[in-house]
Amino acid sequence: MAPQLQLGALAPGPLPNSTEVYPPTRPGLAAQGAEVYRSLGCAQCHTRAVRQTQALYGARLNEVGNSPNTLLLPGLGGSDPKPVNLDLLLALATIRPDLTIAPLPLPPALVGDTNIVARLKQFADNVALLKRNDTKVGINRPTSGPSVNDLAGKLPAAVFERVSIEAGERAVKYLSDAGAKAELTFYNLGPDIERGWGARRTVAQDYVNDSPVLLGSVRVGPDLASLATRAPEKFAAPWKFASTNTAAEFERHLLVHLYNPRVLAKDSTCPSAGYLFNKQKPEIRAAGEPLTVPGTDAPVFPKHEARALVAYLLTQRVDTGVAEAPVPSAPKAVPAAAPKAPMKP
Amino acid sequence: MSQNKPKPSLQNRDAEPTVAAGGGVAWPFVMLGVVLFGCFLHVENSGGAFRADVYQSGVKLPPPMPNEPEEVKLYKTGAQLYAACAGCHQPSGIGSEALNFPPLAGSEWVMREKPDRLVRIILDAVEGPISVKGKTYDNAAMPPFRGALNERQIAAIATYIRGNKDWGNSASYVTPAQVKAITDATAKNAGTKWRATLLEAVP
Amino acid sequence: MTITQSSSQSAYSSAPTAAQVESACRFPVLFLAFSGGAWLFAGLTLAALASVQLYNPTFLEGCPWVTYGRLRPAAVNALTYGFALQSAFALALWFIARLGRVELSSPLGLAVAAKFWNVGVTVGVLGILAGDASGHDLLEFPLYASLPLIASYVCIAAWALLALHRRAEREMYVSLWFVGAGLLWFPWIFATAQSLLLGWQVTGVVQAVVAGWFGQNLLQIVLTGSALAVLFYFVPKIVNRPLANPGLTRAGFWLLLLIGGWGGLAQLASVPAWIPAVSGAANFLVLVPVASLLVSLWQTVDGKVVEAWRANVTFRFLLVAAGLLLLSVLRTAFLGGQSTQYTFFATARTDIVLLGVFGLSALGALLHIVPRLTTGEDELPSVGLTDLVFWTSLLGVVGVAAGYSLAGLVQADVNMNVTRDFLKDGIVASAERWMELNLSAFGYLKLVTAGYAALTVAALAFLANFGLAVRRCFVACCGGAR
Repeated sequence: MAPQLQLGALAPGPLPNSTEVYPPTRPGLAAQGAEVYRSLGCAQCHTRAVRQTQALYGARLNEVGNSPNTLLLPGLGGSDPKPVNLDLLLALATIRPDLTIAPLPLPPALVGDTNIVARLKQFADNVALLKRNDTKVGINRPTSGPSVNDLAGKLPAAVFERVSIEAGERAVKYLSDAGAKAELTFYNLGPDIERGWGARRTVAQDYVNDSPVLLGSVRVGPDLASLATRAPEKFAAPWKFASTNTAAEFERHLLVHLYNPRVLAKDSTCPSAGYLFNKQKPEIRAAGEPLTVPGTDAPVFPKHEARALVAYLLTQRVDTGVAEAPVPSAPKAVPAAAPKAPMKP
Repeated sequence: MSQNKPKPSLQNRDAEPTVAAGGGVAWPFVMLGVVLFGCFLHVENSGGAFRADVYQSGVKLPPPMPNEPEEVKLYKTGAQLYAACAGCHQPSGIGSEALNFPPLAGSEWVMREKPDRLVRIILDAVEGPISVKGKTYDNAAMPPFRGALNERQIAAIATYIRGNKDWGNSASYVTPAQVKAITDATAKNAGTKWRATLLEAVP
Repeated sequence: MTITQSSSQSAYSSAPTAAQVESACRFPVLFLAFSGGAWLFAGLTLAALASVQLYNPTFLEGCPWVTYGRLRPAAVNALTYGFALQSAFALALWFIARLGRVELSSPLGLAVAAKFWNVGVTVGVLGILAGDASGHDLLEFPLYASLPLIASYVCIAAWALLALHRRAEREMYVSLWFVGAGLLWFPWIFATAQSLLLGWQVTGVVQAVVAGWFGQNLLQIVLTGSALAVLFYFVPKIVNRPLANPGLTRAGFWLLLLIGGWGGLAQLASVPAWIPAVSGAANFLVLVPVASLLVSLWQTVDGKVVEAWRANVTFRFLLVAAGLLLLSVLRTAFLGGQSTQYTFFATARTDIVLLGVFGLSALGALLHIVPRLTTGEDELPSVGLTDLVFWTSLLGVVGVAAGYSLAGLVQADVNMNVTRDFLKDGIVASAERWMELNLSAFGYLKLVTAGYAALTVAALAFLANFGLAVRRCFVACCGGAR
């Protein structure tokens, strides 16, 4: 009975860093849909649990930042001067021995600026030192290919992807010490997550509002834990969305799938739930929109149960991070690189 | 257990099976010990130390995000400070019609675009008839909080009251700077409780 | 009526003979055994229909009552509560009567209680088909069906335990340990699980934990225990040797009770890591008691296996059941973890224990018990039908077990490999693949249907033979009495 002591008192609670309560209460129609889901025995073939096998880390460079060695150099072909953080380039070169270091030519317009000339010379010396160090410890830095300058040129940049937490934290420390803004990123991994069935593993907190809790034990069909967040191209392998991914289109697709699963997923072995649809327009006011199923002529009218079931499926989302299973943050939009004033001597 | 009935030489359909003489044996327990040891190792390695928040042993979670937004901090502080208000306005913010305590949940005095009226009420309290959600209340029991709470605390309470989704409130949060501005602007009013009619002039 | 008279005549004798105790328990045991057989037939028919829908989704399309989502739980619950538990009651009563040398009092009342059990199962199965399933594995009966089940169970178990208490033979033989443990275990787990899931609903995933715990206890302790009672009764009796190594048996019994119920959550996701870890460990630990018990049986039978196989049909059933018991424990221990999570491999386990370990033992035992209680002969009237029961049930169990397990392994491979198409390589392939060959006509899942069909034939043959025996008995007894 230890599980009850540990998990029995779980209740919807606030998420870290927000006032949102998780999991949110299901709206009435979706709550009725949960009963339809149970009654039809959908859980006999569909699980509602995302598994995760690993969590790996990475480092993301968000801003070049401002250090004493940040110079405003004109871009290669353009006229806009770009801030170049020399310390950052060195730090990147240290943590990524697989990248080349492109030399920084002195722009002709700045030949007269003694400060810039001195700093660039210092940089060249440091690079030479780094390369000598490389040979000493046995690192073979390639002579051609992508360079650290390219990496720092397109932000936000993934400096490391899928490495251990130690490597990720080390990279973030190096980059921060160089004055750049970097953050530790992480990746939830596992076949389920890579199939697009959810952003993270499911945890006990996700099911607090459910009763009965229908986790399912066999996957004859795909997992439904995060059906509502599925990316268009990852929607149960054979499913593809036409163009958009609006809620209305999603709802219509689910209704068509319920009516005849083979229309959208050729290999599906899901029995049709045609009994949830009326062939004739029912004599009630709330008949709702008719549904046109591809390959058939006459439109059908989804019954209340069908709409409830779809509403329930649309509440299936595992995209909110919780303390015990966070989700990766999306990369921030390219920061409006407000170039800091260049260093004045 | 070890009684031996006379055994029939042929299979006798009425005879019951019997038990041979024999004592205990040790090997199941030795085997149990060996397997148990392996099991302990297994649970030690993958059991996550029996913690409720470990869903996979050996996987390090990222450190929690360092900075909560300011309004979240204010809201959480406010939730604690609201205990002082809950006595009359109730923990659920519904007040009490019978005891003449006006509600905060869904109140048009709370849910204004600007927090000016709410902050003024918290600072210097209000007395006399006041109409909330169609009911008129008249209660002089509200104490003024000017001086008792600092600007940040008042901002926290106002944020909690205005943004409490459980009550159905969803107004914007209140910053300590706003509270400071109002405190300074009404400094000459200190010690006098507001009247609803006076407050109605406030945006 | 003649039965009650004969029992009252001999009620005061201290140790009734085998014939006397058998005539006293005749009616309830036969009733339970026959309705068990009938539910076996019904459940297998439902299971066969359900398995067709796994690869032919348009089969029986258009009616919610007969879609897979309802047929499958209806089948599993009909087999569990209708066939397995009911046959277990029949066996328990007979063992208590025989091994305890005790005459059951008022057997007609017991039969009425058994009737209520059947009513409960019928209501439950119809409830599932109508869409009232509770949604928890092996506990799908709606609450309104569970209550008559509990009430009827209390009567049957109280009756059986009272008889056990009044037994003339004070020394309890091994089989009675298992019978007694099962009779006490089932009400505990059933009442606990029902009250936690349907009455006072526990929060969140604890429901899944409770359901998994119940299923594991039901399969591993109540039903496997009942199968072991059969094994320990008939094996020494058939080879006509005393049970070797009782110390080993005792150790195995207590360890099974101690450990058996802890597994069953090894494949649960969305719970803290320690729950599947502990459960997986328990799945390994349970190898120890099962090995002790099987070794003790093996020592008893050593050297006489071939002889007994030829001579006795019950022994054949028991040998296969014992093999399946070992197999089921081994496969759960070694492959029952994350690697086969959410595949048919887990489904196969329920079917192996229900139909293989318990089903074959029970059929074997009933083939011995039923003729004794009806015609008084050693075997059922038709030897041909008896052989048919054995071979079809053997093939059926092997087909279901192998089909689900192999399909599960195909699925597990696809589950773990993102580059494989989930539906096409996993589900469709497991219906159309045989080893390395692509056969659209015969795949693993189709083997399952064939297995269920063979088992259905076995159930029918058993019922027919049963009917023949009862008819002959009626002709003989009633004709003679008049």
